[in-house]
Amino acid sequence: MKIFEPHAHMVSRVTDDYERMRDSGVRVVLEPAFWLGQPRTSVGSFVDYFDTLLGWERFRAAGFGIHHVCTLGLNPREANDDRVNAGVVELLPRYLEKNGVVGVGEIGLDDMTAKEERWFLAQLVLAKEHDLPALVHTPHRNKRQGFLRCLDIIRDSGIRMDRVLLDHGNEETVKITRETGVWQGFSIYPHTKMDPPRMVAILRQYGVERMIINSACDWGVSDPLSVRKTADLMAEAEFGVGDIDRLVWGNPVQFFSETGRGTEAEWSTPPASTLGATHAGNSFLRGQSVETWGKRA
Amino acid sequence: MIAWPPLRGRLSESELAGLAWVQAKIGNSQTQRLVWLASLPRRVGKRALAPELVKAGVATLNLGAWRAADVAAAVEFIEASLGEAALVELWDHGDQEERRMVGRSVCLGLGDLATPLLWDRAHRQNDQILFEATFLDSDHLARLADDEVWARAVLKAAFLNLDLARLYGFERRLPDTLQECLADFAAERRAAGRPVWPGTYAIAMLGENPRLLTLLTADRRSTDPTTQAQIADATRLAESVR
Ligand SMILES: [Zn+2]
Repeated sequence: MKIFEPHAHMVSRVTDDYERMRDSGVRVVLEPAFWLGQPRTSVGSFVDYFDTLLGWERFRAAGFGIHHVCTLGLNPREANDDRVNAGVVELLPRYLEKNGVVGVGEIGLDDMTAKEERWFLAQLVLAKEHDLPALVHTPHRNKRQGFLRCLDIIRDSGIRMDRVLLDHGNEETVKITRETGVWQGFSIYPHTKMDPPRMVAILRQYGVERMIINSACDWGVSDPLSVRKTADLMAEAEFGVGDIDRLVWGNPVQFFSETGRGTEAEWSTPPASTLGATHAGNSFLRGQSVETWGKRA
Repeated sequence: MIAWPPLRGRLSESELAGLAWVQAKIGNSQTQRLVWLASLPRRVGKRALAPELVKAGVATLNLGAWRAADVAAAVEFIEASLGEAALVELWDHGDQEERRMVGRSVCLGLGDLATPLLWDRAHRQNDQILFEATFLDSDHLARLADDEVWARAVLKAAFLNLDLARLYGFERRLPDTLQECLADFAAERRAAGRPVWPGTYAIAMLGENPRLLTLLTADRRSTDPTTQAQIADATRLAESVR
């Protein structure tokens, strides 16, 4: 089984997690930029955080044979913080063309404040300008209202509906989002919120089209294998292999590759963590005639 | 200023078109370069160049370590006459691909580029790809690094188990202190029951460090086929540079 894990905060996970994820079939892990459990007090902290997602974490994942990609953005919680909000959004254009960035996110709403709405809209516009999809975090409380408000803002921004993934959905929100054309994300947690049996029931009722599931694992109680566990439960519930593959691989690959930031072929092949392999048999160039380039003018 | 007509010639029509697209976006503004340089690997592609030794300015380098995007970036840097400050800024704000392109270009000795700052950046991070891109596959380091930087780079290459043959010019830079460090490192590896760095053998053959020679003599008697193959490779390498 090939898995594209479309929402995992790997900076807070240990190497055992990478190993278990790889062994369960994870080929690609997408890390959305989010908050770190407590507010950051300066824009510089975001610079270093974004650089970590683009550099070190990508290299760390490659060491386990997993492609690491990310979405970057100002999360809705810190959108309320005037110490950082404007500065981070101003910083984003410098990051959105970077290699490994496959979208803008997590952006969206949390407490549904005016500031959250303002910076959510501004970042949807950035996604449009850089031809990137948007990964949208929705409120964990008052879901129905939150989804409706997110959809209003998404429509106002003019971004294509099929470039938007509305995450953290449940039985209630499927009814709202199903006909809108957006992709629907579900975070599967071990104890609370959406668990694998609930997810399988939703899939049985609505099918897998435009559905994406993730573990949303982070520094809290969460399970980096919950995508695999849900897929196994689907198999027990006699879903076809094609449907399972589409849910855990085909759908996220399609959504995040459509704007040219990655391809299925690239993501199906393990990444290199060293150049050595590419150079095998290539370094032994000795005693050959040497072409001279360039002259000091 | 260095003229480099052959560099563009290494790119295909479509790769040149990708480069032109990015150069138009950059328009020789460093602010724009900080945004758009990252798109070069996607626009130009990552085709691997054929192995070939070329002499670029003062340095000899192996083009087989370069990809089309690395060539395109070097063309952009040369045509924009970028100096050290601009390149270090691109490294500092760059992603893995950008740092790889900047690291590769270091060996071209661009403009006023005093490379130690970039060497320092590349040495002080753990991403092996960036270490390789910046330090290996040319003789730039062997030519210009001071003894301290040189020894640190060779020891890191040993620690990462990289191919000594990719450190062009190593045979000209074998100070006693470095050989002593390699002998210590080999002893440490042996004590831990791990194989020694194969580069140690060629350095033992070319240098005159008694501890390294003792190790080589002992390992020549080994019946382990991997050790025998490594010593055979080292012999070929040592003969080719002697
Ligand atoms: Zn999250």
